[in-house]
Amino acid sequence: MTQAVQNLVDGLGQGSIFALLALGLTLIFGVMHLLNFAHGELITVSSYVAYALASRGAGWETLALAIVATSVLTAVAIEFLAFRWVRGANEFTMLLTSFGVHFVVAALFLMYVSPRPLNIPKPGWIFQTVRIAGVALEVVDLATIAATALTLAATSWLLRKTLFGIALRAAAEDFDAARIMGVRSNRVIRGAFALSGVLAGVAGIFWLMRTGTAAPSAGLTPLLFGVIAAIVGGLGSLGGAVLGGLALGLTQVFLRAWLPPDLSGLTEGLIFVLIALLFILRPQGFVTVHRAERV
Amino acid sequence: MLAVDGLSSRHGSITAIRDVSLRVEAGEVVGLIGPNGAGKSTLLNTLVGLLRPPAGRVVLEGRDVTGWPPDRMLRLGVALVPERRRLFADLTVMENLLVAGITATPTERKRRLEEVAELFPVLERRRTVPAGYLSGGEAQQLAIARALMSGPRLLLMDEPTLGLAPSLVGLVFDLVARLREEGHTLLVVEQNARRLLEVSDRAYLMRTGGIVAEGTGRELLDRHDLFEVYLGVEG
Repeated sequence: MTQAVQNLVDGLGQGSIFALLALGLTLIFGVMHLLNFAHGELITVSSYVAYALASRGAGWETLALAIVATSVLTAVAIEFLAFRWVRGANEFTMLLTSFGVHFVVAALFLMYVSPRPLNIPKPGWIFQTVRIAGVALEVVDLATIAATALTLAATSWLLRKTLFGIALRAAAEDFDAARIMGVRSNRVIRGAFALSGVLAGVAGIFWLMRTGTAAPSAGLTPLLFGVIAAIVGGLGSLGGAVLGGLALGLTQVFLRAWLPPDLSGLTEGLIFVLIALLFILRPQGFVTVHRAERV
Repeated sequence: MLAVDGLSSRHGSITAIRDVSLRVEAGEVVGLIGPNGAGKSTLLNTLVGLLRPPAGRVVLEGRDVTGWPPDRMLRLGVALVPERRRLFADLTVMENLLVAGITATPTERKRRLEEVAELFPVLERRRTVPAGYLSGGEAQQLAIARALMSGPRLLLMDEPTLGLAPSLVGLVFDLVARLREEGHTLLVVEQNARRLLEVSDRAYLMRTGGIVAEGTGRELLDRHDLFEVYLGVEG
């Protein structure tokens, strides 16, 4: 029982990171029909900024702010420099462009910074646990879950109560109809990227806190799980993305706990088997999404 | 108010239009009739900037606006009630109206929300319902209400009675007449040619991408030959 609660919290902690990334990916997919494989670069670039600041003695409070700011700026810059030029192109072209951005960013850090992973000191409390009702829980999991809950609440408020958020949802449902209503393409797409940057920034804080590594492909693993979570969630449903992320984190942790030790290396493989099963039973993912055709 | 000269346009598989010229004067209701696939929707989509025309000119109040994007056209006062309405189904009625008023100042937006509530009492009662749950008649009223939220000077309507029960068709035409009395300028596309011509000051008949006849609503109504040849109905 105790073990199950620990696993639950651990899984939700992991899953929160995937959920935030999946939500950002889904926002961008909604307004552009782009599955953004360059989304991990937000964490990659942030990891180097965090490394640079940490090596000058900055604490994690400063790093956290810097990671979110870097992530937002990187998201907006990538949109402006790369995706604006292929907007309206077919989805395959945009997908390849996002791969291109990933490889360019990774190559730049490889050539001009260091091919080796650099160490970002983890915060002192990362390995601490707190006892709640007799169950020892990791502080970092609780912090991740709390920060994610706050971020999701703020995002939900933004999407429902502000004119920008409503326009973003409208554009995600039918981009051309939103344009006819006067929604500016550039503004709503830039906004979606900035918001996805905030979400990836919060995810990045806790990812980098756990890994403590700046590397040319630091964002690759979280990106892949984010993409899987977004697809599992139904690709296009914001709630589905969050659900997909949490489900993925929980599955990962519980599989690892239940598999015999000598089989735990199969966790990732089994996750893909489960995803394949999900898509056989429910090809549309957790949440069914209706999309308008474009003119 | 609007002058279109030698306009051509096409996009993908939808009907192309060639060398279309027409005029809409301020305060007029202009009808655009023609069989399916005549290019009527292509023309309207090009006028609001969803499609960029490879040839021809669109002049709005003396300004060349050819190829301007939809959000700029809307800011110049050209609004479209699109074909099949294209409501944001997951957004509530209120949210649909708010997005449509995005170009207005907060004070204007508030005033227009009140105007729209008065014009469409049924929407006021359904304001918190997602647009996807509205009945056909309610949905069409929302589509028109949405276009009015920007305070348009030229309102384009693409098949406003499509899919409506016969009893509701009259409601839409009454509304067209009412908007005209209030001084709005309208360019309306309709399959329901006879009803449209009855409320139109002038009208154009389109067929296979071009305009083949024009005249006052009355004149076209009396051209029984056109009805038989182009619309396939008994005059």
